Amino acid sequence: MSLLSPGGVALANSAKGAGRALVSGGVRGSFAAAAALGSAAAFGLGAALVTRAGLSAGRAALAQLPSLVPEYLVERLLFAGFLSAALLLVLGTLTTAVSTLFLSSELEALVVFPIPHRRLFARQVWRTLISASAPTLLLAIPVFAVAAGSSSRPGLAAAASLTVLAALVLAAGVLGSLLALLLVRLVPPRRARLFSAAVSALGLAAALLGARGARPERLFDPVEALVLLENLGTTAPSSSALDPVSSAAHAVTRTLFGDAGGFTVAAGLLASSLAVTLVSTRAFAKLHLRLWQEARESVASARTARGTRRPVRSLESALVRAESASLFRDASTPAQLGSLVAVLLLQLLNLRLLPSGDSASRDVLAGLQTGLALFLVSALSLRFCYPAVSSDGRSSLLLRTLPLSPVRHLAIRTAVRAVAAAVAALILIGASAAVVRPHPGAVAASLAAGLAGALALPALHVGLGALFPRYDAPNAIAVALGPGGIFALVLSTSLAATSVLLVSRELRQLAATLLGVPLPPLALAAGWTLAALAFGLAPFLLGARSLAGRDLGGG
Amino acid sequence: MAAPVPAVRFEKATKSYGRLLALHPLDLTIAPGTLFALVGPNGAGKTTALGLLTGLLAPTAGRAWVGGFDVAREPLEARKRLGFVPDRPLLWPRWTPRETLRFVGAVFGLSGSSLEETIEGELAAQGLLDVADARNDSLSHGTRQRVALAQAFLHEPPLYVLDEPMVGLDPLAQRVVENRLRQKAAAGAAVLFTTHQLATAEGLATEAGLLVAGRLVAQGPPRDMRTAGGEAGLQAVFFAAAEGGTR
Repeated sequence: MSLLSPGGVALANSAKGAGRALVSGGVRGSFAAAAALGSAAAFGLGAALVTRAGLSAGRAALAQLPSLVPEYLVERLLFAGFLSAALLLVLGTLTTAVSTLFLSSELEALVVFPIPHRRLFARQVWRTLISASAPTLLLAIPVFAVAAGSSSRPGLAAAASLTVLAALVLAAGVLGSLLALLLVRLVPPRRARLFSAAVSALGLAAALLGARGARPERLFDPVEALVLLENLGTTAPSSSALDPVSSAAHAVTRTLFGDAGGFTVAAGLLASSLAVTLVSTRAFAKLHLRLWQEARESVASARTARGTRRPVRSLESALVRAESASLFRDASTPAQLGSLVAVLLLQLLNLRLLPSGDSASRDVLAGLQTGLALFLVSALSLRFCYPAVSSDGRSSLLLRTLPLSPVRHLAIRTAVRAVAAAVAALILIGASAAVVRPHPGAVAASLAAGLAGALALPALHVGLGALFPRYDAPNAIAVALGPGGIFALVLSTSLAATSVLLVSRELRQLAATLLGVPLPPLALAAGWTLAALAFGLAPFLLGARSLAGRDLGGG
Repeated sequence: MAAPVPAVRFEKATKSYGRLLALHPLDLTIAPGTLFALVGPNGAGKTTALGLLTGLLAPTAGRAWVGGFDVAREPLEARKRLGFVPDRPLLWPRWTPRETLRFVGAVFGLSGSSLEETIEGELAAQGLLDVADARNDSLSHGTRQRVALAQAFLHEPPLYVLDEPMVGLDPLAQRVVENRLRQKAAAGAAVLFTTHQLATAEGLATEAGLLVAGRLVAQGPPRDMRTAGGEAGLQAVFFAAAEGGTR
């Protein structure tokens, strides 16, 4: 019997829905749900263990350095942590908010009911906050639980930490949601989502480059590390009441060291964030409704837009065009490309710092770089090639009824992706070779292995993806993280890892010594090439066969 | 005696998508008890007109009323008076039909045992009792459409706005829906529906409107409509207008 308010009924329904997904989603569904919960628990446990180890090491070090004030170091660490979390939350919320505020079919269903729009807007903002902050909270809560546990007033410290975290999530989330409104005012939601995903990835890449540019490896030099610690641990951090991040760090530090006054500041920060959230959701609800309605109109007007298209010359050209559109119109492609550029820059930065003075070091580096490049291609391939068949969704029903050979279609799906993979591999390997300058034989072997691997990996992933399709998966990431995807990653990683032996004479000799068997280069190259061929062809052919014979759309 | 408040009224309601004028100024009044079919070719502006009534779209100019309430100025009052079925059923995938109806009932102020009884009755009327506790995302398209219809019927609104309500329904379910709509109209509710099935429109509607390229080019009881050449019936008028000529 229902005596609940609409919000209460919705909450109860959602809880029951989540429970059903856990217990009655079939063996596969239950396994996936259990794996997700297990991964979250393992992640939390890992964060707690690392924090505990860090605290022990810190205590031991500080006992040797009496001139340092622990509060100063903790406050600075918290400041950096809160600032990074706030930036990540704003970026994460921006992308999520474009979807929840403008592309949600649930919102479309709710808008026609007699529910005030400010409540609907507030509901979507809260949903955004919860989804976007989950990863941050998963990391931060175990860390603060351990830190509070080692404080003289654990309850107080835990309460202050959680209060500050809540304030941070609210403030950053509301800012991200308002930025999403601004963005959708400028560009239609689907384009805004692409743009915000690219901004998030580039922001993350810039942060990674910044962290790398600060040369953290210098901390391995005890003298430099000591100088830095003395600078940070002997002067009080500047704290301003107008700077919420430094106030938050100061408040949590105070409670961690037993001062109850910090909790008052934390509560004040939460109250301010809550007030900003409530005021913003009221103030911007009308603007959201207008933008939401306009966004629906932009979809309608896009349907009427006409573009000039080149005529199709053959079935192959039509399929290539369709597959290219599927690949490059993927919502996360710009973001992934941004990340790839950042990884390339990081890789080149690393190379400049690694020892490469003699030819043996350069030989080892060239081998490792080849393996790394193929591993990156393998990860990208898992994301973009493995879900190629599953992403057909219900279109798979139509595809089955078309007079189109599954082998031919799968070959074109693979070819389009293999070209992109080969370009990525050759850029990564070529850039590394230009910086490392190994002997010409190693460069040739590296390029050949990169090319062969980059052609085999998409075939392996597309084939396995066809063998284990998941047409009902919510998105490509969910497909890639399924059991078949993990199997594909294991195979492709082994191919990438063994490629180092083809390129580096030094590593080949080391492996031969460790294994106690001779590894002649030509035989090794032939064996690896055969393995790459088998990895590419066997799943491809099995996948094509499975596509032609599998039952689809029963019921 | 004062004239009854119209169930629906459009007054010069206009909608543009950029430079495309999707709905030319529309003047239309639908009285309580009317079964009104809005027909027209694809892209004629039918869904746009319904969007202006439900608040899914804002008019570029003009106004729309539901039961005397301006949709733009008093949206909540207007929405309390309508039951809406969109052109594709929008259901929460992880909820069940029963949970969906419980939520919709709560939104419209129903609760307690009377809500549960209403839900049971609606599930039975739509033939959904067997799947009442299955997840919405496991249902076929036709069954999802029946859940969407149950959702619209649940709170007994004075106006039903149905966008292609028969799509995906088997003939038995279509007959059930047609009979229920006739009962609702007989009890004083107004029904505004779009359809591409001209026979359904002729058989069910007491009044019809023909939209072509955003303009209402014909309106009246379906069987009384006439082409310029004197041919009678909605189908004749539809083909004459859609293929270039108007009445």
